[in-house]
Amino acid sequence: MSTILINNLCKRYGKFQAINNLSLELDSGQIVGLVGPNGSGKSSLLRIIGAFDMAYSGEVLINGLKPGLESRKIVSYLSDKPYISDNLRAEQIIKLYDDFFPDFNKDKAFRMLDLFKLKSEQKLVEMSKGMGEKVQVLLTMSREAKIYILDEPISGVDPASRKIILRSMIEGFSEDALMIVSTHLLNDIENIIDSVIFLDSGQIKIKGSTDDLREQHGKGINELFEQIFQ
Amino acid sequence: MFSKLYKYQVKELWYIARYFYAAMIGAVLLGLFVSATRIPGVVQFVNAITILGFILSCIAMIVFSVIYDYQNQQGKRSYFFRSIPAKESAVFSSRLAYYFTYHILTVLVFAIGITIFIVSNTAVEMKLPFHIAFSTVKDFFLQPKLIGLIFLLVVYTGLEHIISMMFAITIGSQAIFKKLGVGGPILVYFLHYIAMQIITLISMLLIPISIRLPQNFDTDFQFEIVFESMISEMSKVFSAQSNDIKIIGIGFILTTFVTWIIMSIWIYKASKNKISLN
Repeated sequence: MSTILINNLCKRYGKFQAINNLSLELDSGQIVGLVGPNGSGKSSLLRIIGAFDMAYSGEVLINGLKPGLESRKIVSYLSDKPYISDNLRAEQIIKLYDDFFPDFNKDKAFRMLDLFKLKSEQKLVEMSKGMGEKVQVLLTMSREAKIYILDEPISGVDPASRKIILRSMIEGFSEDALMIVSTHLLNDIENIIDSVIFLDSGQIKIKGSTDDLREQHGKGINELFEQIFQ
Repeated sequence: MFSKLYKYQVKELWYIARYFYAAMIGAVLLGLFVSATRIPGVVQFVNAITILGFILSCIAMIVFSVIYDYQNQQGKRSYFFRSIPAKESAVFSSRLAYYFTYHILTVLVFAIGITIFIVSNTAVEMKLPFHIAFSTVKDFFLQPKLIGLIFLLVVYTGLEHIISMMFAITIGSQAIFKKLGVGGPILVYFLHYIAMQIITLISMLLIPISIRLPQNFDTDFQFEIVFESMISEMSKVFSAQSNDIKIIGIGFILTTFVTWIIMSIWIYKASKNKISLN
């Protein structure tokens, strides 16, 4: 059974077709990069997989389940928008996650907090954008989930912090899980992803393992991306 | 999970609510302090400001409780709130309990404030010592029938407000209203309001259960329940068999309860199957 199985998925916002008859099958044990220009349907697709958008047509199965309460239990989702109360301190947020998510690993969260050099008593409102994103990444990665979905996890952080975040993502990733990372910063994630999906106008343009694509096209993934979308 | 969700929602709003409640209690104490001076003009002015502040604080509390619920359901905290692996029944009941907690708390603070305001006003106007004024007001308000009526009204208006708000937020956030943003819940609220008014009017007119009004309010204060519809009473007035309407239909109470149940099921199903976050 595929971890994610999508058949003929369509998603529309009024007249705008965000996802157009997309079919996809993804198995566990890999990190998948989801890339594409703005408006290509990346966030829409991730929201549907995360069961945060149920207004679509087509078939979507997450570990054999239709997106909903049960599928949400095995998906750890990082939205591209801030989504936690900013009047809470980092330690309070960790406690909150520990209360609500049975698969949350509190020790791992505190370890990552140290790794990111964040103060546990600091409120989110007092943190910079990058620091806030680090908190959200550590919360997402501290769950022992089967599927990790990260929508633009490194977009607002400096290059040095990006490396730390990416390293922590790999360290926090278990071999039997599936991780989907959507980003514009392909250069940064090229070395950590096992396969890549190029999305354009709600359809898959290219999909494959990074090694195969490099060999097939004789260039790096970032160069290939630039060539296709220029 | 219910208690965790409930605690989370109550704590979230408490960060703001505590300032409003503190301001309301502070205003009452200030009013009491000024009343002790017994300077009529000053007391009336401060009391007027206090009452105004009180009403505005209550409105603000209602508005904030709705905004915070919206943020959890569709707004900036929705990705966290919606990812919590809780059954819809736990989410629904915790939202209901959250709204009800703040409704009761606001009503209580308001009631205490108004009581103190009336006591101090009575003391100044009637030139009575405060404890005598308190005793007079207490004797008037602490009548079992009046307390029962006020309690029923608080619960009824509370449920009406809470279910309406939850309905507007949940249904108004569905994909079909998505491009309206916050306008979706507002539109659904007004559509629901108009529908409820029509249902209430029809129920009052057609359902054969009413209250017969006393012949003379000055001498007789007894109300009688009769199994007649208002429409038959109105037809008598139109055909000149009677001069005025003597019964008021109360069938709307029944239809209101039925509507609440339908709306609750609708909210439950929509929260489960029709999420569409931005």
